[in-house]
Amino acid sequence: MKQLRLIFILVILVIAGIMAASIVWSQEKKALEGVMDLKSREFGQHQRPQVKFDHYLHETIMRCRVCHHDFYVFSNRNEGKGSKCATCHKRKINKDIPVPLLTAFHNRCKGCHENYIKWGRTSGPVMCGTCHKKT
Amino acid sequence: MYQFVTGPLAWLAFIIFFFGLVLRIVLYVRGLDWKLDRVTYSVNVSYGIKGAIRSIIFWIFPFGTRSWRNNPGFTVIVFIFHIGLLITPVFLLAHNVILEEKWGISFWTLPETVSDILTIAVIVSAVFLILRRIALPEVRIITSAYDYLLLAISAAPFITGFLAYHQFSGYEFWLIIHILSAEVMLVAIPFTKLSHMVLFFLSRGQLGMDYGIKRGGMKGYNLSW
Repeated sequence: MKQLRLIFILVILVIAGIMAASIVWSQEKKALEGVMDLKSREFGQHQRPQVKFDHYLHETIMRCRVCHHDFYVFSNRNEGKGSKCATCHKRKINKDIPVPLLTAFHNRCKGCHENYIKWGRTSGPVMCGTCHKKT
Repeated sequence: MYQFVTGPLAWLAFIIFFFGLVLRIVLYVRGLDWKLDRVTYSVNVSYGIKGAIRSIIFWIFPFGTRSWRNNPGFTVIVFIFHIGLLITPVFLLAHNVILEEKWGISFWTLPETVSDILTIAVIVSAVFLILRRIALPEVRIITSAYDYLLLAISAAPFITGFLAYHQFSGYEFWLIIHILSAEVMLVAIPFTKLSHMVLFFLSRGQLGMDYGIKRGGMKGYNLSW
């Protein structure tokens, strides 16, 4: 009986240890690629305050290719991981990329948040100043 | 809340605004009576149109008419107020970004510093218009609470928009109040004397036709009235 209790305590300790380690690990990960400043040299001087984007939060709830898409003729071809919006989207549209960078940013953030609100799900900010926060 | 005021409520406000103004125009033109006014609107059309355009153009420029020149201070304030009131919302960057995303259309936009200055100009000139109503006895006796209400309705979107743009505390509240107050203004335009937005052109046009046809415009054409 005493042995059983000891084993029980040990198991609990191990589980707690794993949980603690995973929290530390996830926080490390968060610090690594968590909240990023969305700024692009493509814009030059930014008109509005820069947006802080929690990359970690988003990668836990959706697929990478929603944002990191790599369109090939008609459909999603690759995940294009690591590439930035401004890799393809430029300030002005051209014949290959019909969506300007500003619209790409707004569609990916605000557009998606609006859809989530429409579907009655927990969503992110949609009002101008809730992303473009003045400091 | 934001979804509601920018969605169905915005549509409702714009529909009331647009159709209300069309109705005001139709009713104004149908209300004209050439026998009562003793002006041959539909007979001497070319003289009428010439007079109408002349009258509108002279009144639309500051100091273009005698009445504008007689009250220079008032003229300056009125023109600053109206220019800011019309140009700022239409050519504001943020409004055009939303327009571009919803419908894919946008106008050229003002730099944000310029629209900020125009907004302040509208608010300050609104304050001067209020002070004028209090200070001048000849205006005070024809002023009622209704006039102050209309000034408040037209200045409110600018005050709240200014607060929202500069993100004073309670940003979300100010933005929603900004949208709501603008919708109140849009709805109020056809129903109140804010309808001078279009009726200015019609009544100036009517008077211009009057002058172009009857009073002097057709002098020497052997018309007897």
